[in-house]
Amino acid sequence: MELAGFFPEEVKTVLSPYLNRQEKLTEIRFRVGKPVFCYVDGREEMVMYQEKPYVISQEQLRQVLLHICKYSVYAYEEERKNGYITLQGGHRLGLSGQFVYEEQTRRGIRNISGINFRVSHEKRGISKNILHCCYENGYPVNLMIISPPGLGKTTLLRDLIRNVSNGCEYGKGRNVSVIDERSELGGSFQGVPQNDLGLRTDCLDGISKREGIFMAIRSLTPEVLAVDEVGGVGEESYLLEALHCGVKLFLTMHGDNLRDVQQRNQGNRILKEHMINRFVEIGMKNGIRSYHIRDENGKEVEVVM
Amino acid sequence: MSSILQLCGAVFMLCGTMGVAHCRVEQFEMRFAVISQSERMLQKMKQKILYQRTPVESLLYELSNELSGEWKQFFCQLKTGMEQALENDFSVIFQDAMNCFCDRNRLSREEKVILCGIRSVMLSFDTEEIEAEIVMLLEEQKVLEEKLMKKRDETKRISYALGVAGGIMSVLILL
Repeated sequence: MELAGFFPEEVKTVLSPYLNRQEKLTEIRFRVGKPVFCYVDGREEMVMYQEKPYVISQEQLRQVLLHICKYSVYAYEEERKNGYITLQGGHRLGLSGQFVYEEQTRRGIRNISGINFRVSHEKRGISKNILHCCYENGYPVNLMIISPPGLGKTTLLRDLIRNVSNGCEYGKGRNVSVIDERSELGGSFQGVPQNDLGLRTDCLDGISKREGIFMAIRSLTPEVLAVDEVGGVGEESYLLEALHCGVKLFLTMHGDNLRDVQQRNQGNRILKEHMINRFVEIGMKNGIRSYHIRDENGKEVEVVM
Repeated sequence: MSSILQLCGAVFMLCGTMGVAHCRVEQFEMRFAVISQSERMLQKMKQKILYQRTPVESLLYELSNELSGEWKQFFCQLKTGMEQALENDFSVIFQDAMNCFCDRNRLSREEKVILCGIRSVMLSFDTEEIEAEIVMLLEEQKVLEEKLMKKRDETKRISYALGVAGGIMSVLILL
């Protein structure tokens, strides 16, 4: 779906210079009473209308949200509880506002004061240069991708999943199960992944990691299990369970580098007992992305640009 | 001669009054049918929105298939409006469909409440709000249904009374 179709007439007209550059547009930020910002190619640009910053009112924001959700905001209640909505095409709406709790359980969000429209980009082929280190003797290895937010961990993992699932020059196609707790990998809209995750991939969308891992192992018999943004309390035991079942793990974790991750997760057995065969650290310098590949001992073996 | 003219006058008067009364009864019947069928529509909406979280696009499609009569027509019009003019404001499309529906069925301002309620249900963000609104609408629907039933019966009675009175008058004139 074209991005323009998500917005009401007025907003569409104002944003048209940015919407026409969809392939470079990464985010559109709406905040009540504040100018709208667009992020193009990593640069922030204030949206102007008739030579003035385009400021959005509460009612306009409501209309934007209604239009984006095709007048069915209620249909996204479960997702809204977590502060985001996944849209057709894998795009993501991050919400800010007043969260409502009932008996210590988050019930939803009211009085929405900001929307962050994250444009989904499927970057096919970005894992090409690191694919060789994800295999050993034709079999996938346990892999962890590490980077600070916004450098493309999820995008890289998505491309890896697709290649491993379809098969590539380093190994035949494998059955992959994706535990997509926040619908980021598959970008599922109404249960159907909007991003191509490969021919042999099963996507468990909107499920908690614990339940998803157990369910996948028991019923989907994956050869590779992909989980995005691990590192939460108690997650280690589910991942160990998967490892003990002989499933290979493709994981991502927030962090500057492996050392940072190890320091923050000192008790983590997966890291301590060298269960991960390859670590891929993503770095960015002068707008150029680099991949630092480390072996199970944390020794850097290769740098790929 | 004069008695024949008197008789004709009495018959015309009777037919006219009965005709007006009959039209009134028909109008009440029509409004009553719409309001009484709205209960089924509201229950379906409740089920689809609250329990199945059906998005508006599919909701309109399903309701226009599952309902009958005037409500079917209403949701068909909304569905077509949404398909043809997705860029437009839903409120505007809804307002057009609502006006057509009310004119066609000669709904009173009081009865329009049901339609206004449907609009706020569809535009609401919160399912708790939706549930409360539907419960209120169902209560309102009951009250409106009873009121219309009473009015309809009353008009029917008047129509019968007029018929009987006219008959008696005609007989008396003939005698």
